[in-house]
Amino acid sequence: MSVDGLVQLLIDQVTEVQAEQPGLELVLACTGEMIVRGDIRFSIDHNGRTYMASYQVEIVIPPDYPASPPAVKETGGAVPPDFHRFPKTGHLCLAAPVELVRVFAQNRTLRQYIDRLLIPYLFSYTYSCEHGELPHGELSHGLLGLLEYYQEFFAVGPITVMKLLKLLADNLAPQLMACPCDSGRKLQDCHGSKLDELRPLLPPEYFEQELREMISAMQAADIRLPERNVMPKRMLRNREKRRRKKAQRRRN
Amino acid sequence: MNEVRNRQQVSQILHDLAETLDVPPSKYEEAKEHYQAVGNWLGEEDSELALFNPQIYAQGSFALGTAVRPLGEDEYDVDAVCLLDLTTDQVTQKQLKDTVGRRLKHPGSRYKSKIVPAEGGRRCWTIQYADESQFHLDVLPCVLDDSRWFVGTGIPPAILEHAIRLTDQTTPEYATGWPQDANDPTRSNPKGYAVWFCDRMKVRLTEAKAALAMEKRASVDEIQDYQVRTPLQRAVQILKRHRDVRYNGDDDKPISIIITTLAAHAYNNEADLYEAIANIVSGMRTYIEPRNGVWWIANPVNPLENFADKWEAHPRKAELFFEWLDALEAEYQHIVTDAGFEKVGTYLAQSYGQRDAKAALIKYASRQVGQSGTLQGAPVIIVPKKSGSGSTSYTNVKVTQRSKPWSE
Repeated sequence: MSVDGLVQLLIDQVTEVQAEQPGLELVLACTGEMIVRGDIRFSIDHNGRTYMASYQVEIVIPPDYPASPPAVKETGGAVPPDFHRFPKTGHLCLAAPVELVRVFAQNRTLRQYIDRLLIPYLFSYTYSCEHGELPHGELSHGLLGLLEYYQEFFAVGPITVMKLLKLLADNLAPQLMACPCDSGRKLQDCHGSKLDELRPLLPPEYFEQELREMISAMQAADIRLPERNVMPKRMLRNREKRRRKKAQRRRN
Repeated sequence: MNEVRNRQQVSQILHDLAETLDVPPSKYEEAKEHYQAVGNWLGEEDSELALFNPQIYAQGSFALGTAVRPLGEDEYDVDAVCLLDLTTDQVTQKQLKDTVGRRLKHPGSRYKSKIVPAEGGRRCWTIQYADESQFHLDVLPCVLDDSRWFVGTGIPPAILEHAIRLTDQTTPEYATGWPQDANDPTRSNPKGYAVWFCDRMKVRLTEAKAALAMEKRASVDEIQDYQVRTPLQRAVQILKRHRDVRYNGDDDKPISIIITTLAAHAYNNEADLYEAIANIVSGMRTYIEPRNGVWWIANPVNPLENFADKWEAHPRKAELFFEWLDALEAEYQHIVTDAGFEKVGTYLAQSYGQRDAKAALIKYASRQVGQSGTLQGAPVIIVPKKSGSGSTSYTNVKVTQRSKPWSE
């Protein structure tokens, strides 16, 4: 998208959002970034109670918007640093990275981002202040949290998650293959559609990176893995090369 | 406060605004084609006017390069004078006007059904073009001013040689001849005025044409005046639109010829647009003189003509004008402060209209996005908060997406 188009798009999207969130404005920051900032107010009915809150936020628009979703900071000092935030940037962790992209991809607008991602997150925080826990639970930190996310998304166990992620990392879609979840069905009749939902959201390298980190974490914890079925093909190939070299050295 | 930096940015934004307000070169070409076609029709061999060698040229904002795109549904209003080789001894005003009218309404004329109203206006024949072109052309019949009233007025001959006499139905002599005052409503000098106006911005006009010639690898002679804009022309465009938005539909609003004249007087060939406008708005009032209890804004090419002649009978016109200058001065001082600059988007929308403000900001912001470091200090608000956002209304949201926050 041209820069002209981006600014035009943002003006339109901010104007649309202002129907519900009149306290937001679009600014061009001195960093050259486009930022949507101001007050977000909401009232949410949950289990027979109404929760009302307002937060100061700064939504940073990435240069490749709307291909990528924005990032967001809470600027009023209401959300403490230990509540689901990226430690380096201070940005709010609205959801697992894939989930963030998945929800935003359903409708690449600020309204979607605010209504489906930001407000639910802020509501979770508001709720937790009173009840000491989150209304819909939370993911563990780091890799474990990612694994939990995928387990829930695919409704399978951790090893099967990794088998499915391998198909994303290797960018394979063998529709007639037996589904890795051992349901006895073909991939196309089982988890194929779930994979197809995630595949276009992020590049294979992204899934490969996540998978590699999961594998090393599990290996570090001495968990045995069915390596051929979970390791991305590049990893397998490198391992093969190393083995051959080792064997060569031994022969010499 | 980052006033220096704010000034630079405001200049760029104003530049983008003026470009947005400007009439595109294609419209200038179109206008020229229109009035030249009229000139050709009037001068064709079988025309009763052929003998008098009709010459047609633009006057007013299209001749000065200060025209702005119409607000809303309005049309482009192009004025062209039609000069005939006749003298005031040979024709009366009525004869002159009717001769041109007859030719325009000739049975073989493509204009015959386009003259609105059919009986003509006070000074002109108006040709209404098809809706989609958004044009109407006022054709003002005239002859050269052969009287010697101007001897000793101090106006250079290069300007005086263009003086003309227009027709005016409201003069008592309309059917019988011409008024004899040195300052009567038939006297005019649009070409002379254009010469004066160009002279007021000569440095920047020459510079702009040279720059464009360089860019196009063309010779300066090939560059037409209408292809470039000086800060004076931009300033006049911005001031006119400010006037249009502020006094939309008010009969007493400041008139363009006064704005243009005072701005040209106050302009000192500033290269920077913000500086030009700031100096113009603070300097304009010094060219409004009180003469014997009457406000005078002299026509620079006819010192006997007072552009503010209506102010005496309609004092509200003067009041509005001074009030307008005060407002402009305050606005242009405030806009370069940090507080003012941050709200530049709101200011532009309020003072120059939503549509054009938005277009200008898109141009500006698109240039700045991703250019970190060029801006320092206050951010620029592109879309301001909605008014009344201070209220405590909370939007009821249905959470359809269950949040499960994560962290690294």
